[in-house]
Amino acid sequence: MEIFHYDFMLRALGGGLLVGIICPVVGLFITLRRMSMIADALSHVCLSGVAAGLLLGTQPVLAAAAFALGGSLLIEGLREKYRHYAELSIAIILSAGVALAAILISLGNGLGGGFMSYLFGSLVLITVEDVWVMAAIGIPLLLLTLLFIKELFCITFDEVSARVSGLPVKLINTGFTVLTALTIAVAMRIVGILLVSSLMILPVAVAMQLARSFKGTLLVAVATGEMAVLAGLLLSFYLDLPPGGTIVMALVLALVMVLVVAPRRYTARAGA
Amino acid sequence: MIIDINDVHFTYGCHPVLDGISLHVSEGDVVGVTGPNGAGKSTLVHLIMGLMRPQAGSVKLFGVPVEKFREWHRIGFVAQKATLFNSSYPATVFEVVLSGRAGLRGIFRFFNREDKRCAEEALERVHILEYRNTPVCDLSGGQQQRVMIARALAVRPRVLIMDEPTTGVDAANLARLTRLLAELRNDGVTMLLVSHEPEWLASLASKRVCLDRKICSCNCRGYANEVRWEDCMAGRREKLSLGLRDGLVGG
Repeated sequence: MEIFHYDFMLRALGGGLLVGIICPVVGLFITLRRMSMIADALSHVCLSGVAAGLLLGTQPVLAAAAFALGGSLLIEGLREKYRHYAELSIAIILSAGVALAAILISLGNGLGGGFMSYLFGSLVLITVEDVWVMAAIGIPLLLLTLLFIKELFCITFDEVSARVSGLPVKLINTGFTVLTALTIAVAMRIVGILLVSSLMILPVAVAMQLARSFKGTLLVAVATGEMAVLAGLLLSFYLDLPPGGTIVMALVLALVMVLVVAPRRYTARAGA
Repeated sequence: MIIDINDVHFTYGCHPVLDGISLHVSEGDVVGVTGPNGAGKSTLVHLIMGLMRPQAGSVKLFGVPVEKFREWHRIGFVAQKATLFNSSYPATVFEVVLSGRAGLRGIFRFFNREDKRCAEEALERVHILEYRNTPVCDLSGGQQQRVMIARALAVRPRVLIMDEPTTGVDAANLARLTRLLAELRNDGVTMLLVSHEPEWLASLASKRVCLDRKICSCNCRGYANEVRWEDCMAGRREKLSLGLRDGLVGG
């Protein structure tokens, strides 16, 4: 196929397939803990990180990762302050991220067309350096998530029981928020800052309609994420559209098909 | 001694919740703790589980102060509202029960054959092995509660602690729960049951404690007359003329 003759396409595929695994894995735990807004908050923090990176001339993905890391730790800190209104911490960091980004973008006089590519993703602007940074952060991230899978699962349905069964819940919570932040930083180059949370949540929404077990949900979510990334990148190449848009629309289409063909879980037991 | 609580005081702000509580649970005991809303029952459970620290007094588990206690797998805990799986929670009964062994297995280690065998044993013990591969959200509230009891039993605990197991359970499921706990009692499982329903506890517990900031009644050795729990519940504890402190539940 001719698309494999283009280096930029190979870079996009390499990075895309990596985030197609990581995002649904992390997204599953975010969904089960009803924290999907955290992905949006941290992606907006990444926005300011990218703006800072471009402004200062440093690697934007690394700058975004550093900002997201800081944002994730602040969310955890604020969660302690507003224990009974934990979502406040997410809203505060989201606002701060957008506000800082607005200032930095203005200081950089709009930061040029390169900045736009971070909003919705870009095939041609993904550099070799981007792919290396994505792999260097993404692969350890994936391995760490898989190593902690039983602890993360335990915490999703009962934090108190997890704590009294001897699990270091606070450490795992903070570690997981950091994992989420780094996942967003890694994935934003492919799908864009504004759509990164969709790649985390939509494959999980599809999988929850089809699978009966946790293991099955995880596998179906990853398979859905990978297929959507592949389909989205191909469509992006042939139709000259931003990859973030095509990947997420592929996921939306998959979700609609699943809801129409196999409306099993949400609808069948809605009253249960 | 499995649980040893000595002269514990706990205050929320300026509101005293527990005022000089002493409670002892030994091997084979089935201790029922009851009391009106706000009596400090859940606070007592949280203190035992190390989720809160008393302002004075001590809580020891297996002879170790709770703040230093690390062998949580010796304790099975079923939290209040243990049936909150929503209608799309993606996990099978077996996966939920197996997850109870996560703390015991330890970080960076995957579940092995022994973990799976213990989870199956626990499922069999609460009579839901046939639902092993069923999504947990497909079960009724009563069955989900059994799943959580199996999850607590999967670590083969030395004591089972249940916080308000009867809340929101209908009559038929309550009868099943009572039968199940009676079976566990007859098998020698040590239990601490906390409930606002004294009549239900009376059918199961060998030691019964009525809590209202202080332990205001119990039927244990040293207190020959069976206390009328309903008196205590109605706030007429002054009639009971029992000592309020020190060694009330001696076993």
